[in-house]
Amino acid sequence: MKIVASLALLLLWNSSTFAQHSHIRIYATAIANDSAGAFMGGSSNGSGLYQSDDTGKTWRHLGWNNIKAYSMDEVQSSNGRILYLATGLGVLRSTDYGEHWKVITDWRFAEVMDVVVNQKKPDEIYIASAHGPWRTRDAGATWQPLFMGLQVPYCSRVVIDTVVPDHVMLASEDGIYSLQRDTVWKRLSAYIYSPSRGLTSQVQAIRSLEQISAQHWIAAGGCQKILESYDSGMTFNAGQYGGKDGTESLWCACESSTISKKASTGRIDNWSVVLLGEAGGYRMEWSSSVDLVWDGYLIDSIRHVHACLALLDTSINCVSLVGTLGDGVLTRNEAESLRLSRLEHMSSRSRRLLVGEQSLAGREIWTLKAYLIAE
Amino acid sequence: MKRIILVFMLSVPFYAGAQTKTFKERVLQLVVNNHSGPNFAVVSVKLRLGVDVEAAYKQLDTLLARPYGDMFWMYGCAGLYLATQDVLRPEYKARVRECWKHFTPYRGDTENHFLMYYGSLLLMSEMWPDVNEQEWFTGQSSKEIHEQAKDYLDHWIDETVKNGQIEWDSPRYAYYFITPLVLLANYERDTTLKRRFKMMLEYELADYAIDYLDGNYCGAHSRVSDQAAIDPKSAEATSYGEYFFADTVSHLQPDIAFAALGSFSCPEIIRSIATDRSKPYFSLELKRGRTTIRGSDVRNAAVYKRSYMTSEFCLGSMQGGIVQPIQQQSWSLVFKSKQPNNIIFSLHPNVDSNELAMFFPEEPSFMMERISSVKAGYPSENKWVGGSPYEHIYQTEHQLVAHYEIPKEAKYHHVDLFIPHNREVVFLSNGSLSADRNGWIKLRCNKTLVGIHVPSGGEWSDEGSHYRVRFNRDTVMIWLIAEVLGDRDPNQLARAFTNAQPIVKGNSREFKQPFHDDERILLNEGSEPKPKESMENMLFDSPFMTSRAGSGMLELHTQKEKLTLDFNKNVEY
Repeated sequence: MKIVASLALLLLWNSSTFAQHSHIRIYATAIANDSAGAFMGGSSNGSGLYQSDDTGKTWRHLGWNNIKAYSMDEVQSSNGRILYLATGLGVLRSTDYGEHWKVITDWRFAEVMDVVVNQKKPDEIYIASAHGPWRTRDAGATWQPLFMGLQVPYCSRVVIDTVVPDHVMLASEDGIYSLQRDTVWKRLSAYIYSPSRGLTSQVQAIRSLEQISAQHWIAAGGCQKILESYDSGMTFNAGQYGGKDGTESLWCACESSTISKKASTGRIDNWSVVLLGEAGGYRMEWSSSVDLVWDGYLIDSIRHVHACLALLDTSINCVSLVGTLGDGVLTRNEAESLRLSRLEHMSSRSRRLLVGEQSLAGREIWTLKAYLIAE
Repeated sequence: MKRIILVFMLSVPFYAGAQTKTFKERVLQLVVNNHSGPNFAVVSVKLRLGVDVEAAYKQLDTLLARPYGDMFWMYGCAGLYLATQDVLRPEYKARVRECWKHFTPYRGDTENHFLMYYGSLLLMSEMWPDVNEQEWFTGQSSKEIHEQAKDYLDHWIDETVKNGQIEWDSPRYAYYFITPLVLLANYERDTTLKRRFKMMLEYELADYAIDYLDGNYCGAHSRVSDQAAIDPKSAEATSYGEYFFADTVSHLQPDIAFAALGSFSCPEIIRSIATDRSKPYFSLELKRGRTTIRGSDVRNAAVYKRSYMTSEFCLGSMQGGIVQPIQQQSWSLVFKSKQPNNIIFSLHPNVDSNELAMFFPEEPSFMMERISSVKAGYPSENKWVGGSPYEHIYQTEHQLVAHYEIPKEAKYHHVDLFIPHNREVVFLSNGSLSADRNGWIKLRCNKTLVGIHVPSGGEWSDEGSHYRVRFNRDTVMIWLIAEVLGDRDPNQLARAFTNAQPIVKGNSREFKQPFHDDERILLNEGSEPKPKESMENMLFDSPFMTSRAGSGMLELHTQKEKLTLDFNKNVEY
């Protein structure tokens, strides 16, 4: 019953006994598919929230079918009963596993790109929208704008730090912002904006790598380098790795995790993060055994990757799900993958990712998230 | 034969006065006769008149079985329900109710979308005032829905009358502002709100009337369709212009039926503003650009509109730049004509993911890749609509200069000038499709003399409805002069252009109008068009209409009448 969002492996590994009585539930948020005009403000039947209980083999649509669904979160303690959906018309909440929904914001809210529940205080919810971030502390009954300190309103992702109390981070058009115990955002990285790339250089993702180190964060977007923080997100600096040949931007970024453990010691041996973008993607592997080194190779057989997940099922196979803009969800079962992919990586830096099953065809997938659900 | 009769019927004007009962009955009959497909407005008329009732219910079956799923479906459905309350069969009332419980219509993302969405919800929540949250698709109770809808509509009216409209003067979307306001003004139950909506409808019609010339919505436009950009009378709004201002309906659109089924009539003073062209006038308007979400420090750019209206033409512009994505038309000369395509304008075909990213939240590069499926013309070098950050426009009354400085990073490095292929357009330079040796294209456009000074080397192509003159260069200056011909000989008058040339003084150029000595445009290198001082704080400034920004009041005045719309007190007098 704990979140696995993008980090399923670790929790399965941590709680293998528990995992026998639970399964992974994946959610995909989608916009557009029913007509050529079904994006950029157009009507979009077939969009909305999708749920899969078989690691992406089949999907079930939940709730509204004509709504730009950008992101979602669940109250983990509710075991999938309470869901929040970030959409073009605001925030929707379901308290019955997605069967019925209520709009809990008013006309002031539009283009809500992300929603995140503070799992320690589930009535506290943050949203990032094209018009700025907001917060509620009463599960949506009232909302407070959190605009103070922001240079520009547009923000696409909001993250609650699970390690540092009351620390929230925001991915914005002009960099990364941090909020700590007050209502004024502090900008952490201004240089990320690249004039030559224009608006495509905005930050798209911020992730904690707390499983490796409580202080380690990464962020990426249209910038040419991944940003890294080693002080709990207090400062960010350009990392070593970025886009193709140093010129192709990571137009969007997401992460996945794969972890293996040494049977003898039980400790994490390697850990990988996948960043994918407009022209394909990059797998950045980081091995704890070789002093925190990033490495990567190009995955160039798929385009417009916008979200991804990597999960280990109970048989310790790795299932990769890739959400794309326009091609739905691509799923690949990477049995034997960890060791082999590492060998492949060693032999070729441009190894293609063989695409597996496709589902939710035609849709723009904005978020893929996974949670453990108790049976 | 049937078609000929039909066209004849449609073109017959009604001279019975401002939307009299007889006029409305004739309009309703025309709607029934000329629209056969499933449409809420048409079904409403058939049910109200008791004409072709069974077929109407079959069409309603179709409309309710497969809702389109957005606010366009909502206002049509609401209009039907409200207009036919006393005759709609109970089982269909129940089906409509079910629709509003289960269907999840899209709210949209523009000003007209929000008006349709919240306007429909306000009226329908009054139809079912005590329904609980399980019975609405939003999961909210009727009371919650009504409060939110009213809050938005109040906010929108306040913002518009105090700060200017965002989707201003749109020949397409004016139709989608007027229709929901017609419904709100007719069917709102609260008398204070009802009056407020009626005043807002009058405000929209007055805003239209000041730029109206014989069926044409003139001047710069926030959003115009490809078709209406080149043929102004083909715009959706024309149907309302004819209906409210001229008591005719040659361009019949179905939603006119909602107006004809209701009690609202356009005040005579607004009709006079739309039709009295006995004296030319200069009209200044202050509007707002669409809200930018990225790539700009300005949330809603100020839009300074100028329109010079005469009995024969209207020359209108805004200052240039991009204040609306994709569909902006920054300037035009519209001349009175019985022929289509009676418009001259130019543009730089700007194509840039940044333009899309400024206004839409999706991924910029993906939008660029897919835009052709939504707005096919946008990425085209041959497009007919769209603003450009590299376009600056200067206007006095009879003359206009469109100045283009295209930087290296722009996708396209040309400017297109559009000249109508219209039987009432005559080329005065020996009939040849070219500028004369002084750089002037001289035209007689019906009863308007037009001179267009252009750079050398323009490439002409005949595209059927118009000629496209392309200037393949990074710096282009188009200087247009328009003059009502009256009884004067166009060839003789056009000689005045011969010696008119931009006067270069250091880094500036002066454009001196040959027919009106006091009209000069001074263009300094690197400078942008400056609004007149009064434009900073006047939403409307013309002999017919005045409104100070922030006042919430619009004053209409003709020689015979005055009308004040006071939105602060919700009264008109």
